[in-house]
Amino acid sequence: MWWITLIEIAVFPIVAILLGLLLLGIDRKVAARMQRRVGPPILQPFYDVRKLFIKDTVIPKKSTWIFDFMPLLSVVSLFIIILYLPFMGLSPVLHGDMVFILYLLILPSLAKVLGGISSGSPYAAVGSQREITNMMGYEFPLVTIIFFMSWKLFSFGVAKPFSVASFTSGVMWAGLGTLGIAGALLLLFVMLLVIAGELSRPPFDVSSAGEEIAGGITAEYSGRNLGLFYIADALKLIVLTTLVVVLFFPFGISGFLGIGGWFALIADSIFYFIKVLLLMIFSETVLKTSVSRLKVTQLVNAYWGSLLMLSLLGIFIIFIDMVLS
Amino acid sequence: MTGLLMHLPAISIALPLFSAFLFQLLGRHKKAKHILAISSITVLELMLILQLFHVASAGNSIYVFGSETPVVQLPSSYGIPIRISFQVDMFNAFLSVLTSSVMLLVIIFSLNSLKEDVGKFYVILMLMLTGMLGLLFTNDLFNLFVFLEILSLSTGIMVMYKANKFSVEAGFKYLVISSLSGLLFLLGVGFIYAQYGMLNISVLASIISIGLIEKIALGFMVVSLFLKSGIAPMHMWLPDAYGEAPEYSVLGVAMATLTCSYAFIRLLFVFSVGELGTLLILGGLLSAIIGSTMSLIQKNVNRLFGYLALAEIGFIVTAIGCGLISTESNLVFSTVSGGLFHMLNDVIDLGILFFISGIAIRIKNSKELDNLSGFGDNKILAVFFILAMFAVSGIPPMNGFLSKLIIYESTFAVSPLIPIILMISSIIILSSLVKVFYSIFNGKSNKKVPLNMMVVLFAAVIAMLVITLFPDAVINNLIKPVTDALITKSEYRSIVGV
Amino acid sequence: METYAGFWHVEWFLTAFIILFFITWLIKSLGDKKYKSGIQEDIFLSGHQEKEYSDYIGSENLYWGFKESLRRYYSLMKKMHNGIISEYIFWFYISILIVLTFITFGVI
Repeated sequence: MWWITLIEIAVFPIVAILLGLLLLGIDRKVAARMQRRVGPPILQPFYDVRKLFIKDTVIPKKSTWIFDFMPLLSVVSLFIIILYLPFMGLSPVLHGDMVFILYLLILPSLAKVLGGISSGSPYAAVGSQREITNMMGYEFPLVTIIFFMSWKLFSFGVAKPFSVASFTSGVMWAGLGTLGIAGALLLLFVMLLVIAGELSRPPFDVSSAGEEIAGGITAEYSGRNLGLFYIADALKLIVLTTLVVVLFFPFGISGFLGIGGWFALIADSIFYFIKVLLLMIFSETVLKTSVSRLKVTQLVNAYWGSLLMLSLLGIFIIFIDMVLS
Repeated sequence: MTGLLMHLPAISIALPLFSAFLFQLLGRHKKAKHILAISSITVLELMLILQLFHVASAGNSIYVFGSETPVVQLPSSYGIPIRISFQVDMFNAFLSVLTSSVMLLVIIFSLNSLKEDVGKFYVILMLMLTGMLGLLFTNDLFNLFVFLEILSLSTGIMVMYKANKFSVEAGFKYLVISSLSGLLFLLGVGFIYAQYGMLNISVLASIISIGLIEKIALGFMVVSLFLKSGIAPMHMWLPDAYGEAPEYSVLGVAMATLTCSYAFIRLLFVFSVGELGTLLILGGLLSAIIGSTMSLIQKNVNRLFGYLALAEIGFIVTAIGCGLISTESNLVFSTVSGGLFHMLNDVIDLGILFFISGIAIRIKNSKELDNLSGFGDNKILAVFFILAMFAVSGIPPMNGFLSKLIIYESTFAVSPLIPIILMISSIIILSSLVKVFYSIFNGKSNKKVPLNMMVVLFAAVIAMLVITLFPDAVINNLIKPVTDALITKSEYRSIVGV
Repeated sequence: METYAGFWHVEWFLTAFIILFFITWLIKSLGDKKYKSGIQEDIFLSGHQEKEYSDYIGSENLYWGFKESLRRYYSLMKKMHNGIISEYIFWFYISILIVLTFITFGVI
């Protein structure tokens, strides 16, 4: 029924914002505990957003109208991606292709970059350059992994190998022996690093290197625009971890436990939250507290060299396993 | 009416040629020359649209020069066709409408950029249009060479129109490359002529049997046409020519290189040589990689867009190459329709980019990216540029995304490496367009854009938005018949009844 | 629109886009009612400015990190595209030789 779809279109983004900010708070708390600090309270991102929204918005004199518009575009594009992915363990609200989602994932970073370069500040221009170099880098392993999985679906004879609905049957682990599982774990490791790259977290956070370039892209943003970018950051965390859940762990728990109806929905949502939390901890928190920052000239070599080689190795191992069995 | 419809292929060649000669009679009356140019191209466009509808409803039309009635290919006393003939099917008609619309937009765009020698510019443009339309319609191998030469000479002169030392050098390189490619094409034609004794494409297609000699001949022809349409690794003249062509007519030069790609697509499909498709795939992938990565380091804005055009031609050619080497009919249809749809989208999107850069160059009088700033307060131009940027790199929901979706999701069945490389080059294209956006749309200076340029830009953006919002209608009514006409060669070959 | 292995529905995308744009605009209008927007200030350049800052970073320098990482590839490409017409024709002859060799030996 189409009106249920419209209600879901309106409600899911709000839930995603709340979930994302909660996850960010948990991330900061866990990172602080790993560094033997106390850390901020878990609800700190909510207080941050509230503080940003009640401040004045200052616009540089040399900026253009795009500067004001890009935070909106960033948040809207993330909302749309959430609608196309199975959020909270439910089936996706709208049906789409994986290629479409790959292209839409470019939009939040692109909006941030376009906003930064039209602010007229040289710090923002340098930050934008680094962010686009980062984006060109991480797309290569990401595209390789997703096209490989679609090709695997195609070789199994699935009718629509690119649609998100076909991925929810757990294609990654289908028909694999021990060698294949090792390859799939390698691909999971590459995906965790790609998540860290997309969110501009260490070791890939040259673009928001606060010490070097005074904040990077968001140097000139303040008030509500900065609040919207903060929300976009939280949403991107949710979107990327949901994407990894779709690719690698799309299973629900209600079938396993044998419950149905409303309890199944609640159990699936809690299981989804646990999956997303674990993925975030392993990709973001652990890396944030243990590694330092790569230089911008080493970024492309890291992505197109090391990460790509690892993902190709993983694909090769899985391919050998599929041929042997 | 049926008389007009019967003679349309010949009139569409005669009209631009005749009006090109008429410009000399008008002496120094600039306004009359403008009116003659716009009216003759409008009449030509209307006739070509009429021809498109006629072919869509009534099948291929054929025109034989010099026979008793223009629709009979076989002479009354011989058994083989010896006269030059034109054949119009959906693919030709579609490309001819696209070509003449682009030329009409170029003429309107350059209305107030020409100083004194208005007639010279229009003569060159009309000769380019003659060459392009003749290349599209012809059904005869040697005639293809003749029109190829007409197109090359006029486009070379268009490249060196501005007559400073850089343009003359770029035009000279273009002319050398064109004559070399034409001569080696003729060598391939010579092989086939020696083997079969006839030059008519549709008759040859029904009697040819692909052996070693035919493949070598086709190898010569196809690689020479690769050189002419700028496919890597023979693409180096392309950024030089695009960078030095006058900024108001560079889209005409781009259309000329795209029309040369029509020639080898048609020959490979009609002669049914599927194995040479791997050449297209390799050349296309190399063009996509080289075009996208080289566009990141350019300083001259039209040269940068030239590298982008190279990458987009790579996309088209890769898709059609995958269609050539596949055997499953669904897959062939999908890949070829993706390639042809991308041809349409590519002309429109790159057209918008070239028009915006033409506006910026005219107002700022420089082609270097660093001198082009100052359009930050022009909201309409910025919105159009962002839409075109999304469209060229394939971000949803624009029309570039549609054709790229079709290409990725059908070429991955040939090899999953192909869409990976194409997608990476698409993202690098996005980065170089962000660089151009940064240069042009920074700073504020209230400069007024000339009206004719805005009208042309609006027309192109409306075309892009129509394709974006109604993809099903465009694909079912336009792209599907065009692809069917290219893939099923039986109607093209059987027009003679040999 | 249906492709060989996927699909795309533009109506749902645009509907969702419009609704979500409206929701985001509502979010942006939350906050303190007395807030001032659009205050124009100079950009932040730490330190004391000696002269009037009027230049932007040239777009030539915009992708320095990427160019540095691929320095060897770009020097190779620059040598390929050096503008000498005889070298362009040299590339053409090599490709046609390779293609003819492949055709003669039955690879293609």
